[in-house]
Amino acid sequence: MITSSFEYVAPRSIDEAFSILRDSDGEGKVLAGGHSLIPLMKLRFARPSILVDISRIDGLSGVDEKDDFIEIGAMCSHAVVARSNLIREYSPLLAHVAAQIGDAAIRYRGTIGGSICHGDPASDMAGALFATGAVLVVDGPSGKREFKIEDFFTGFLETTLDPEEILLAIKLPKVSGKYSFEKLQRRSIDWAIVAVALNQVGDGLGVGLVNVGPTPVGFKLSLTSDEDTSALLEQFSEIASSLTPPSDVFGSSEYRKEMAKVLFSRALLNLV
Amino acid sequence: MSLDFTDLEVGRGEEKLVGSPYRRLEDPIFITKGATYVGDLEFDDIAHISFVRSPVASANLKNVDVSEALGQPGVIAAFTAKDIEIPAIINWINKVIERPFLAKDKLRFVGEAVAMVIGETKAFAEDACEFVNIDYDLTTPIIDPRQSANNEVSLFEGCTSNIVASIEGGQVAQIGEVRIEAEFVNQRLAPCPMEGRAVVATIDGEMLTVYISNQAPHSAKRSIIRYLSIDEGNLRVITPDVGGGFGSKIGTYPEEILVPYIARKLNRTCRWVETRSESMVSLGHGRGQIAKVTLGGDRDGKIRSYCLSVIQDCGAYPEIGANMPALTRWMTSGCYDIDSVDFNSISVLTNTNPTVAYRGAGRPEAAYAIERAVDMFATEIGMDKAEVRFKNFIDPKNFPYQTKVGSTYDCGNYEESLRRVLKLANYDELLVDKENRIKDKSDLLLGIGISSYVEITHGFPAKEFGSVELISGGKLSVKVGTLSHGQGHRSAISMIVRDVTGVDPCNIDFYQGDTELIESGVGTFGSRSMQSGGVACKRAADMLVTKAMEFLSNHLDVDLDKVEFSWHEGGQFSVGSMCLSWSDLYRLAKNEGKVLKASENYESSSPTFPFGAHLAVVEVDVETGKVHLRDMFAIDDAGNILNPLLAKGQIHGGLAQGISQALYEEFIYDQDGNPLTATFADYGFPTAAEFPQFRDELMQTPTSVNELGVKGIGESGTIGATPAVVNAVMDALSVYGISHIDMPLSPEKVFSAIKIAKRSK
Ligand SMILES: Cc1cc2nc3c(=O)[nH]c(=O)nc-3n(C[C@H](O)[C@H](O)[C@H](O)COP(=O)(O)OP(=O)(O)OC[C@H]3O[C@@H](n4cnc5c(N)ncnc54)[C@H](O)[C@@H]3O)c2cc1C
Repeated sequence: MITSSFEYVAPRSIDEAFSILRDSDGEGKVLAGGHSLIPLMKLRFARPSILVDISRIDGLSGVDEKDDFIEIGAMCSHAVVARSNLIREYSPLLAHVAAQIGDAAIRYRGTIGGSICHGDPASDMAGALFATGAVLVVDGPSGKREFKIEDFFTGFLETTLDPEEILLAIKLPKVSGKYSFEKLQRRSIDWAIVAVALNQVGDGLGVGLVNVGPTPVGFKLSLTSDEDTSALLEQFSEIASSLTPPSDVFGSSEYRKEMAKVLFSRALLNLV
Repeated sequence: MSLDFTDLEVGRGEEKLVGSPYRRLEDPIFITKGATYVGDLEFDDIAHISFVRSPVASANLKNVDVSEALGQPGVIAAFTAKDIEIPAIINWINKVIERPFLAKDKLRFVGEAVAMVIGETKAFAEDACEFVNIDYDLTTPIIDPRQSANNEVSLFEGCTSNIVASIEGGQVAQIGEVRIEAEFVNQRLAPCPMEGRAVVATIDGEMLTVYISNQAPHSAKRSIIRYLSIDEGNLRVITPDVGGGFGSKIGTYPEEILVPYIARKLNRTCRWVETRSESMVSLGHGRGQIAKVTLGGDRDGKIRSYCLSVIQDCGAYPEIGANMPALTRWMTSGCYDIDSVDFNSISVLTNTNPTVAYRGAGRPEAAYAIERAVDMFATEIGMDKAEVRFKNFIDPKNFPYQTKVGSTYDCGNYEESLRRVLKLANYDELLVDKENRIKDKSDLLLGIGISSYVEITHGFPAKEFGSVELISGGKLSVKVGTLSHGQGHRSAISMIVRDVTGVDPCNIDFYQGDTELIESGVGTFGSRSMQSGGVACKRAADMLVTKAMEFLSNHLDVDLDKVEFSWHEGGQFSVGSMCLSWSDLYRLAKNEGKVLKASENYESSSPTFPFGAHLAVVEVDVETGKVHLRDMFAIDDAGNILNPLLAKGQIHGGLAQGISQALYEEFIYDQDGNPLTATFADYGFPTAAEFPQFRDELMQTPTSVNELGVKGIGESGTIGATPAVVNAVMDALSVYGISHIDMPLSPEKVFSAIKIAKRSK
């Protein structure tokens, strides 16, 4: 319950952050809200020698409107995402999901960037970003790179991020279709046993699934007609049968699979 | 809201305070400055203790090597069993069983203390713990209590079996047209007080002072004296504010004895404040009972026989948990008048954290068993669940009532409490709603769960100390041997003393939890405090008034019957036309070198049996198995209520814990004895968001066991609420023919039960 010792720095610029990370020989870690990283450190599962707090770097916590997309700074807290007028207008699913994370204290500290970079399959934000088709903007020693969300996660708590790279922002297409989010949880503060996010993007239905495998997952289903849900259910069922959700004290793998189907059909019904 | 009590609508006038919702005297400082816990106390040059704990459930311990740890920065010392010169604790039930202060020869559960490291800071100590090397050979653990009972190999050498205690019985003939048989598990719970265990030991010459977060400082003192062989006069035990205990802080743990031991060894102030991770695996757990019930009854609703067989999981060492079946036994037949009742139990060892008393301690288990069984009986004979209870309640005219297992219930009116809760909940409308949902084939089924409970408080009557002394300015100093750890005793006892003496509670200094100031004390557990310490203070206050009158009669040389006292206007003594206040009396006595003080060691003649009826309304989502507790109603009767705010605080906290056992909490070990729920991420500790607004009312049937007419109210919630919630879920699921699911009723368990039921239809 007490971390091993570490150094702490809070650089004012992104370049400073890069140089500290470079000098730390892979022992450094970016600190965002700390809601995932600090518990791991307290259990001594993670032992970074230096924490680079990126909360004081300008330009990482804004929400900006561009031509056909919006750009959300990686350091935006869930509370900011839930309240932002731009996000509510152009990506209402994301705001809706952010508002349901943890409790108020968690939403004020946890960030969208941390939620993605942690690579946790239980991240609701990852589910919403999958359903929306997000692009992640990353910077580091090998220069600025952009990833589609589906290319970002590589394994349980693993992403394609290099230890010296920092996620700067998330780009989301402006969408105005229907969306819904169904989350099954034990206590109100718990992570999802399973959650399903749906977002109508163009002529397809973006699907993001939470806690149904080693990484967050998502895919697109084609929407033929609004009314025909049975075809969608069938498509989904097929995909669901190949999922490999975790088993833990909150639910077995088998149960999670079944719940993914139940929540998917509820999410379809509840599209607004 | 103002914090200085100027807006108090009660307590200003010329009315008795007892019975009024007088605001807690404890709160202003808690809200403004904050409480003072052991971890907050400041000392110069303090050393910090960390424990290294067993990572495995069962092993032969070959060697513990601290040499590498000793070389780490900031490390003062490190110790293993070899360095501890105190003889092992001889077990209170079985003298063959010894518990070493640090594990020796064997590792018996994950979390058992193996070594200790003392550092200049807590962080240094924690870091160095990682360099303690434990060398062991794994042995096969026993985790399941059922298996332990039948196991050929016993966990302790010299013991013939793993059964450490038993109660004989259970040969009762089963009578009646219908027979219900079932097995119910009361799962293990982690008590999770906000403040974990914490101890500071500090030395000044010969004098040892120990600050400890517990529920019974005088008994902690006795334990430390016993194991440290220290003179009574050289030890002072102080308990400052305590952030919850729930029974887990009644006893004194080996770690807590080691802190003063090491402080003396190093001649330095030492502190140990347990981390949450330690607390989850090594602060005593609650419950851990498997019950088999057999209920016999007739189709007209009359219950004729009831037998309860219990297996109690003691964990690795038999602590107070081993004795829980004795308390369960007392309450076997609950609120019902049953011809033939019997009970038997065994308490068995396993390779898990020892069990202790946990809020309700043995009585929730009893209430759960009979209230579940009565519901199953009602379902079987097709009778309304309230009606079946009305048919079997002990007649209110028959109190005091002796049960078939020998408990003597002081007073009760079970019918009235059930009638009131049905009314409060609009029972008839709920039944209609439930049926409509079934008819509509709704996916959200409604369930209504009733539980009528009776329990025992102050189960082990023992002398309790209380004293009242007149001090400067006409104020009073009140001392008591009980130990409030959140309950609000300062408020309750000050109100009692005020109503006798007239002295405003703000002018009453209240002391508890210091063995130097308080001559003797038992502590707070088993909902005993008001019926022991409260009565003692009441009597002491009465005696003080008498003493003061006697003093005045001597002083003025008038007959005692010429001296009058009235509690009005702050307390007034009058002799003829002369009128004196407490402050005048203090001055007069002081001039004569006299102290006006009275103390009482009060021992009540018998326990009391509070009762009530709880009703839970749940909605069960049949597609996911998720249970939503929509409403919780409670009628509780703990006799005269000293202060409804305090009583309701106890009831609400208890309801939350009781509901939480039904729906969320379970401390789980895998088959190798590894804890799977050792953090709050996995252990289902609830938050306020999990509960509806409780709808509760107090009922008052005073007891004649004590002059205050009070019974205990600390545990009612955990006793009544748990079966009410489970009964509600089973009521909802009865359409599927499901009769029982063990707690906690997680979505997956409920979902699986529905799935299986649907398949077999
Ligand atoms: C009790 C509790 C309940 C929660 N419930 C939910 C829930 O219901 N749903 C949900 O989705 N989430 C939930 N969360 C998660 C929480 O909201 C955070 O989003 C999450 O913990 C991580 O975000 P953070 O900002 O705290 O990241 P941190 O813990 O600071 O970082 C996490 C990881 O990401 C890395 N990192 C962070 N930012 C960057 C960056 N910009 N570039 C590169 N690497 C980076 C860090 O180095 C670290 O490895 C819960 C958390 C808690 C403690």
